[in-house]
Amino acid sequence: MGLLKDKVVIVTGSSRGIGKSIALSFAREGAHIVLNGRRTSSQRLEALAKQIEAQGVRTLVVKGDVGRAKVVLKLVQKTLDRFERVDILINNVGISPSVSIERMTEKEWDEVIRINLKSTFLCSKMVLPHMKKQRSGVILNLSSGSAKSGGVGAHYAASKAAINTFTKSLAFEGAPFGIRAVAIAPGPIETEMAKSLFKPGRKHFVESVIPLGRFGKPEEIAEVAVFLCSDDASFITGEIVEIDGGLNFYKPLSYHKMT
Amino acid sequence: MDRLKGKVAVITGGGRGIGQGIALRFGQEGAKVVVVDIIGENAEETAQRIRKVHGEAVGLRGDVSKRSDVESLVTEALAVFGRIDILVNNAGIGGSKTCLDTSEEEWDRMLAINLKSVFLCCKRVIPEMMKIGKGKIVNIASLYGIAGSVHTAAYCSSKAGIINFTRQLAVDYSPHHIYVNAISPGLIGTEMTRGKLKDPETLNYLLRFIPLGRHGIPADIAGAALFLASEDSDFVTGHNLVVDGGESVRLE
Repeated sequence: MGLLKDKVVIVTGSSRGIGKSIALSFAREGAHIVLNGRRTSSQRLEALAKQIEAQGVRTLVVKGDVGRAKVVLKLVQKTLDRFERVDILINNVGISPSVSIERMTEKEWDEVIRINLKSTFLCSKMVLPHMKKQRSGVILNLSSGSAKSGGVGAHYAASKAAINTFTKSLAFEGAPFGIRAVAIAPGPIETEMAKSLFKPGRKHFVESVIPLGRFGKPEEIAEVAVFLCSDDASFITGEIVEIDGGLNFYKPLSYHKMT
Repeated sequence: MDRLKGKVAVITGGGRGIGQGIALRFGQEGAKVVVVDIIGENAEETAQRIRKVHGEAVGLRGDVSKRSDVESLVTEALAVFGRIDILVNNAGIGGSKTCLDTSEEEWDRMLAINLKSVFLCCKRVIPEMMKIGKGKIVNIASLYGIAGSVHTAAYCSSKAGIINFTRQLAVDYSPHHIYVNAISPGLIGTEMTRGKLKDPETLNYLLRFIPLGRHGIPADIAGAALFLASEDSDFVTGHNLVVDGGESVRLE
């Protein structure tokens, strides 16, 4: 292995779920990892850092909410102080409260848009000047299948749709400098975020409309992320990769036949 | 590198261009490669290049738009390597004509070589994959399969057909752990595009549409094909992966 040898990677929201899996897979490929968590305890992040360092790479922990500019400034500055460069940014942090539009408060709307979308803007904005100087870089944004389909949590789905468009704009702006921007849109993945989908009855239904017949695992998102950030994907930019076992294109006109 | 170690991969149109790039890369990654091409010497040459480095490969001549050829190609591949884990449907031709200028024969030929060949190869190879209990199919479509363009009536139609055939196969064969994905290359420097690319004025004009500011090379597609043929993509099926330097970003 070594597809990302000595790359410096910032992964926002990397204390658990998909972000944690990405951090572990990137470390396995030889990348140095900057970990970030919003509400996670320092001990938990440090323990993860130890686990990652066991793979022979270096780490840095920067706690804080990257939906706030001064936290992002600190995150990027500490990364540069420690590693003197930043090769890859993974905009992963996100929240997904399940609430109807009628019951959604203005504050809840703002919070989801801030944490999911504004963080993506702020982190991208602040790493871009450094990637431009290096004349290389990859920014990978975590979108969602709900960007296209909608879903309960209209603020979440809207923030993810905006991330898709933002990714394309970023691809345009970065391309002249050799900077690529891509997104991954996961479908149902076995994480804490998706646990509402595991309710009895619901899980079986969701599985029945996924061609591969199962939920994905965080590691399966991480492997796609490795590919998209590696040199094997050097002619791919502006692309949104849906990883959902086929859910997005399957129109279950005869789905009873599949089960 | 051994990301496809021990896997047997059949690559149609592997004698040159994108197919050759994929074949060489798969060979480097430890796959046993069956290179199929309508020009036998080209197939053999690619196979030789793989064998020269360290890999195992055979070159076979055949026309994958003909059922009898597909049958004998697959029989021979199985005789040599015993199984088929990966199928890359890459064989295809280009063509530049409007609907009104396209003869019925030209239409039929384009659809046979570009689309029917994918159907015939899948039809013959999927049962072999079902025996193993797993398989990976990568179909080479095109940006012209998601966008219309000037003077490409039959070509656009054949490539769009590949993209939705890919989704359909993914639905039907998911229960057998057969993963089917497409790659849509943008402008790639190959024999097929050489005419366009050799004139600097045309090249500069075309590059204006590509945010990354360069045309792709077969190795760019090979990287994507490797990903879709490897276990790293085990939750990806029915996807059309666009590899175009950002050219299609403005299509949406």
